[in-house]
Amino acid sequence: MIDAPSASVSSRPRRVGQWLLVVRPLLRNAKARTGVAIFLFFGLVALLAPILSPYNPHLTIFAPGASPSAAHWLGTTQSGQDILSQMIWGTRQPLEIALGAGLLTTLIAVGIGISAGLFGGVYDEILMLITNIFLILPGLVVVIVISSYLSSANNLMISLVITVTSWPWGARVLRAQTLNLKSKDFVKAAIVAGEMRFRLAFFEVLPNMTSLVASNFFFTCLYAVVTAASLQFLGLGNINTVSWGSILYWANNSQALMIGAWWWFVPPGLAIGLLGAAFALINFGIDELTNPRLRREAK
Amino acid sequence: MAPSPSPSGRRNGSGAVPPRCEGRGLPSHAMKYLLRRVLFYLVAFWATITLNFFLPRLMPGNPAEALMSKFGGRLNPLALHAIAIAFGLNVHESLWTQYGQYLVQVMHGNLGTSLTFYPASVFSVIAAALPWTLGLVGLSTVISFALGIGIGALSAWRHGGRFDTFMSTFFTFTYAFPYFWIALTFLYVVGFLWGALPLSGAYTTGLIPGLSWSFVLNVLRHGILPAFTIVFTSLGYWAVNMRNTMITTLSEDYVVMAEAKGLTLRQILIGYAGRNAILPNITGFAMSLGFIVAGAILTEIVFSYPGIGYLLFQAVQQEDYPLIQGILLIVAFAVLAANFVADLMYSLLDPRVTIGESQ
Amino acid sequence: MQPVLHVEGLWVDYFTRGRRLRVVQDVSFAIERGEMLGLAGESGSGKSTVALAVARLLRPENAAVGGMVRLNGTDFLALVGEGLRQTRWKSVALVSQSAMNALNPVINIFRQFDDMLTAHGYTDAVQNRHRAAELLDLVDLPEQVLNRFPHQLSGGMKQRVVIALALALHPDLIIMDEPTTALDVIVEREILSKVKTLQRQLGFSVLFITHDLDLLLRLTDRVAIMYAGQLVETGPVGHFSRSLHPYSRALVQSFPSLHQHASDRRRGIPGAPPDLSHPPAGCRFHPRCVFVADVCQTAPAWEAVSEDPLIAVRCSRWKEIRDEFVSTVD
Repeated sequence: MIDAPSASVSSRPRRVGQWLLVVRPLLRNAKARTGVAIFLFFGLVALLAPILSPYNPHLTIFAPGASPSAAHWLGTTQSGQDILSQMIWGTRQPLEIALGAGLLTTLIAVGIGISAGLFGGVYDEILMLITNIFLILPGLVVVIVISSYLSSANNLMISLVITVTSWPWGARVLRAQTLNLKSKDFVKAAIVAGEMRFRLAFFEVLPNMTSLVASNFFFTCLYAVVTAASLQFLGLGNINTVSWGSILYWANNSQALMIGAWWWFVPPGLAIGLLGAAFALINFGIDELTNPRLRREAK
Repeated sequence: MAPSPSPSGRRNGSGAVPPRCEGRGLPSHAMKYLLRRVLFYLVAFWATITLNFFLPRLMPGNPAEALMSKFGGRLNPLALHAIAIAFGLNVHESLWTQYGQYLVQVMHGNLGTSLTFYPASVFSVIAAALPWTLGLVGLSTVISFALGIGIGALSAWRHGGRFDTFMSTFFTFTYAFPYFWIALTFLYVVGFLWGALPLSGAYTTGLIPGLSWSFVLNVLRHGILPAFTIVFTSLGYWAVNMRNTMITTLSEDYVVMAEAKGLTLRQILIGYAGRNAILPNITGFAMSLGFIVAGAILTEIVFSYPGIGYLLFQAVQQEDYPLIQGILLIVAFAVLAANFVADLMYSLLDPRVTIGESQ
Repeated sequence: MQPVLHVEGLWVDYFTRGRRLRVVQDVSFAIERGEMLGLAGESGSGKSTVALAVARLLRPENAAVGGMVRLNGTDFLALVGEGLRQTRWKSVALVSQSAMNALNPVINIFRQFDDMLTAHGYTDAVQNRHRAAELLDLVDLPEQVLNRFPHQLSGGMKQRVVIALALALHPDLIIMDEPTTALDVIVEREILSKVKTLQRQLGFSVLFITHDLDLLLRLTDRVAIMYAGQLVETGPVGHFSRSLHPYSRALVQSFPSLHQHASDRRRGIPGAPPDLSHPPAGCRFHPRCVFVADVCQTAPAWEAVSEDPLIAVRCSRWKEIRDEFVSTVD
């Protein structure tokens, strides 16, 4: 055979230190860059809320139902609150819930996916049966049912409830990837060398599915933003906290539509959509990085 | 997300022809596959019932106690007993006895009595709402799936072209926006500002349901906006997924081969690329039913459409726990049944289905 | 008599990440009726691209093709749309790189014959079934295979099916691109001897592409060797025991032969093939060449050494190499 002895880059295991190397190519992807920019914008708004917010969002001292003006850029609610201030303070809750649910879900998915893949056998079968059952159940209905039993819920509880329905996707995908890696030489070698299961999972398997884990994280964030907003829109969770979802709840409850108060329900919806789109864009960016065929180029 | 079944292992040599499946209809390995799926759905349904039973008991402070003190005086003893079993208020019976009783009760189709619609049974309340949801969600989902698959396939064929770029950008956003907000916006623009279509309900209040042209037209007019919302918001999901699987499929050797064979563009796009690219989407269809249901629920709530979603909203507002539980069971059952239909389609479209390779 | 395939000055550019990359440059060759030409080269040398360009299978949004490709005298690159579609498979059929994936997994074998026959105007399903069965018989497969799906067949059987498909419209030329790479040696041998028999029987021409030069020297009538997107040498099989291009010589020597001692085997070629976005100035092989001299800084021409049989070489020093050969061998 003539083939030059080319270095087989793809089969070389990725080490822990290379986690960070994923970030740089990601930022070179236009979609991912846009997503990261939107996310950072909202992050800053959330952090600087006390400085940015013109008024206290709870104050009900202004003229009710006023359309946007110089004093109130986004108008006021029926009970006389400044909507811009509510929007700014309301950035915090969706971000906290998204990141919280993203983190919790990813932890569970990684734990279940990798252990099921590595251990195999009955353990794997039982875990996958549970995973598949949770996967098939209608997520939002389960979330609504659980939330309806809770009289009020803080951000952590909402994140937890969302996690109940969001972990199975990641667990399945990561298990499949673990099985795939298990058949690779460098993992086989580590198994033969008697490396501890724990070490194996953290030093051989996990570093080689960075992009899958990241993709799962951002997908969950998107899901959590939309789900949390839906819950609050239904009056579940805690509608007395200031958040985009609760602004929408009160807008809908006060018939904002029927009095033509578009400034009341358009901004929170746009903000939710934009934050969701940011997570979706980052996710698409990761997809394009891992599946080069999706990029536009010749073979 | 959805794994596509891989062709069976490579066997070399031109030895004996492997046994073939005779006869028409589904071959026996497909039957075995479907049987296994049915078994899985039964287990999943049992798990849902169990979840329904244990959830209220796991919650901090049994939610049903508040309920009993609120409604207790108005209920007849039979309804009280059913609620007691469902929410575990009879402390003198063991948990397992209660669980057994609950299972028996559900098996008999007894989901208890609705508190909001007292004295109607949960079952009858759900049965009245179900046709509206099935009609609205079923129809708009089929339209959305077909349209999305078409758009996705076209985007992939002109991969990187103007149509593709526009659609991809557009769908990134429709995908991320909350259903209910898009529903609200449509309602505001088309229903309120423009006044072209009715704002809420499934038909004009006061109209007597019947098989007359005027009633059917009235129902259709009420259905347009909610249906359009569902199609609009879910279209992107199918289009993006189909586009990505189609791009992968288009570079497969058999598609290149199809072009070399001089097949017509129609044959290549539908019979070769499309037929193969749609398979993961059918599995995906089953998996994303949860999302479809979520979108439908919220859309119904915004449009006060008298289906299961709006019913759930009313139940949540009234803290009608028996009804909430009943809806979870019915929705889970519907999702499982739809999954089975998807499995059936899959085994008809893909000759490679073997046990344990899908799902 | 005109050749079945006549390629002259063929070039191919790929569009990749917004850049345009020339991957095939100035390739000229011809295949006579009933002849089998072997095209050899390392992976990435552009040999498969030549096949895809000749078969018109490169997508215009991915690649640009120029030069001349004549099939039986007609300009194949000028055909478009319906005309191109109808000519496909009748003039040139393809047995592609991996038979494993060349068949549509969701339809049975008969339908893969039938859809192609239908597309070319043979719409009688009963006749098509007879025809497909005959074709399978040619490659020693029973008629029942028609009812099978690809996943029910072995690799060797799939490759036979693909060859039977290729024969269906009596093409003048069959391009075989690494047709046996996925098969084991015994099946490979069976299939190649089958191809040889069929070629004698039916008289089609073959462009056989592989990285396995040893195989070509045993199988084909003539061989052409590619390096970094260009042809560097062509000639009848016998010529390659005294090949004139340093690259071909190194290739021939890098093959193990039963007559050689183990120590002589696999000398290999030091260095790596060039990055096509920055090919070396002058002769593209000069950085790895043992005969390198100042003259190699200018690009050598594709030069005919003899007309009949055709031997051509792309090396400025081929005369010196020939003379050295004569002195060392004799």
